[in-house]
Amino acid sequence: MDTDSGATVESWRLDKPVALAVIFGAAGILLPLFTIREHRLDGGTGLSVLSASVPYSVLLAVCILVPAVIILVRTNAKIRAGLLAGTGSVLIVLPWLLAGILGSRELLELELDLGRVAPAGGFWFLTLSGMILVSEFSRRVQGWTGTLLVAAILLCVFAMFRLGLLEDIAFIREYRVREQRFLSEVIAHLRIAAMAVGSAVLVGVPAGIVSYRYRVVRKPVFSVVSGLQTIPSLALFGLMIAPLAFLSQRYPFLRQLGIRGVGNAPAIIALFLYSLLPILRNTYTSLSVIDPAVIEAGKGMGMTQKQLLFMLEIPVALPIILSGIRVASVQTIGNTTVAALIGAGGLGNFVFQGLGQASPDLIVMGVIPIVVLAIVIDRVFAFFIGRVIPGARNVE
Amino acid sequence: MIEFDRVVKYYGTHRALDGVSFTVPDGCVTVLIGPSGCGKSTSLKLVNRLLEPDDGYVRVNGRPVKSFAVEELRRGIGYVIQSAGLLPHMTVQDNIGLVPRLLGRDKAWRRARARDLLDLIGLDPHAYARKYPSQLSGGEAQRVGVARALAADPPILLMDEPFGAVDPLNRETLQNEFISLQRKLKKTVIFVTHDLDEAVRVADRIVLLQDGLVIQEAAPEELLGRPSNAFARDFVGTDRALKRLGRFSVSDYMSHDTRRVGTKDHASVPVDATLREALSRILAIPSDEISVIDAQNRTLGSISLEAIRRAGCGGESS
Repeated sequence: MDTDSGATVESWRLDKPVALAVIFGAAGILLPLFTIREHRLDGGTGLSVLSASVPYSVLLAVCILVPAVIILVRTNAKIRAGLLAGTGSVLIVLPWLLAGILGSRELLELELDLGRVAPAGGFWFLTLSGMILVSEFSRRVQGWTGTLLVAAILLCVFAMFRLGLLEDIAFIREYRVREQRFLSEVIAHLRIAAMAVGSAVLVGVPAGIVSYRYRVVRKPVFSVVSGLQTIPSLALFGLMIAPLAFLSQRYPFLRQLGIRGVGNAPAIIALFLYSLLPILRNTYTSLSVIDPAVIEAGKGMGMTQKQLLFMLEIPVALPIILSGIRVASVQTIGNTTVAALIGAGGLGNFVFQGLGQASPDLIVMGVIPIVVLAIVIDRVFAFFIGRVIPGARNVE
Repeated sequence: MIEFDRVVKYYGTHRALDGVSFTVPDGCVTVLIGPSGCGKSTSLKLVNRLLEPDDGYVRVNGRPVKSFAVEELRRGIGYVIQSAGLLPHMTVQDNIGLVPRLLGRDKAWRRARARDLLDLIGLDPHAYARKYPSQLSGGEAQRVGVARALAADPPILLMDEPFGAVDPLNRETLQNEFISLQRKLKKTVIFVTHDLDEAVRVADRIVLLQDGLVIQEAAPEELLGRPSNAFARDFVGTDRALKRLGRFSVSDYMSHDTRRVGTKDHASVPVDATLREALSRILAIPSDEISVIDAQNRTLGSISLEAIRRAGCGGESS
């Protein structure tokens, strides 16, 4: 895994991701960290961290200089990974704290009771820079150290939120107004995505197995599923409306099941169709690439067709099948946002409300939990896939 | 006993086996050998019914293999293939315990059996039982493949170029281990290879195949000494007399008279070496005789060029 241990003989190469993080970080310091707005729709005046607080500017500058030095100077791979983790975490967490504390102080000085602090370019650049460094760290360490760090960062931000340090940040304001609906929309979002991916697993995995076992059905199955993938997602949601509306008109029992032209049903069906391809393709591919010698050995030892499938083929293919489900899940969490357009619930509601009201704060409020959900789900899958890879448990 | 009775096998229109008949006696290693495409692997796979013949019979102990339930048949026959074919998601001990598991043996029994077999094939059970196949070297994986084939103690063992993917040095070690293992276990083995040296080393009997026909079925000494036609003569090569010496042990042809051994050089040959090795050593010294020593370096006697020559001519002259 670790390519850096032989660094002394390697010639120097530019570590591109880290370099990018340094550039983004520098931009983050120079650009306005947040804007102070008098009210919800005010354009506001920007404030960079340099003009707000010298000590914090220095701290951020250090967090950007350290990765810059890492690029230029050869160090021990472990120390390097540790420094990436440390600086990356600070670059993600600190902007929240600064927006919360410095922003509040500014509002107080300007005596803006209804004012709010909206994160601006600097905030996002610093976050991006930190995320790159953290993901570089995750790439360089084994096991779930990376997952632990991500969890720690999320917990840290959540703790600041619970302690009331972030109340003046614009999208937290938006959140407070909608606190009642927020949790139910998160649950709705997850439910829609889970039902879509769940049914895609129930259909896609068996379809992949059947395509592998019976080569004749492979072509038709794959052309249908790949064809579906080419329809733009927005169009697919729209296309669901007419036939489902017709069906629910025609068959009242469907209406009783909650299947109508708009709402959850068309959203789940569309998202299900989208999730099929990664799951089907990974299942099929993972089975096709099994070493034929292993299958011959299984047969030669007297496995029945069923034993061959459940004791050999599926277990061997499992890590790749799970990666397909992982891709489908992360992708579906994002796509579920669009489902709000056709009346399904979920966090997309906030995003489209925000678009309607020209309120970027509200949009951001909807997008942040979507991103967090996607990251958490991705990490959970990474953990489980790591567990099922043969030998992963006792390779040091 | 395994019998091939006028077996015919087609691949499409290609006649891979063209009426093959031979017998595999119990407790011996029968090597199927021949150039690629001669039908040796095809023949092997007919025994455990990975392939079915188009005509003729394959019988095990007089009973046609067709009459067995295919899974039952396979579980009763050990099968070793070239790249070991270990299941990558199972530990070494679970791989070894696979056939017993299919036969309904419980976990404790399988674990104990796996440990015994690891011992038998010379891998430390503590170090290897819980390893995964990806953590093994080629030679280790191949040993585990043999242990797996032996797990349910089948009377028959099919080995399809079992050491073909191992480097030459390790291959010889594995061959020697296999020979001493077979001495203990006395399985009925069909062993497929295209390597004549390997065949000569491990075989009790050799079946030479060409284009789906049996050319010669004989003991290795006989095949090397009296190849039955031009193809067989070609196949065993111009150094067949030399290869044949590899079948004979120094201990059978040496003189036990220790006085005759010269003292001017320190060249010697181990008592368990083959005549081929003894000849090679004699050719390197300016004498016609070389002393024979045991594992403790004690001189037991000597072997002469003359004795080796007599052994070598034995097959050809008669």
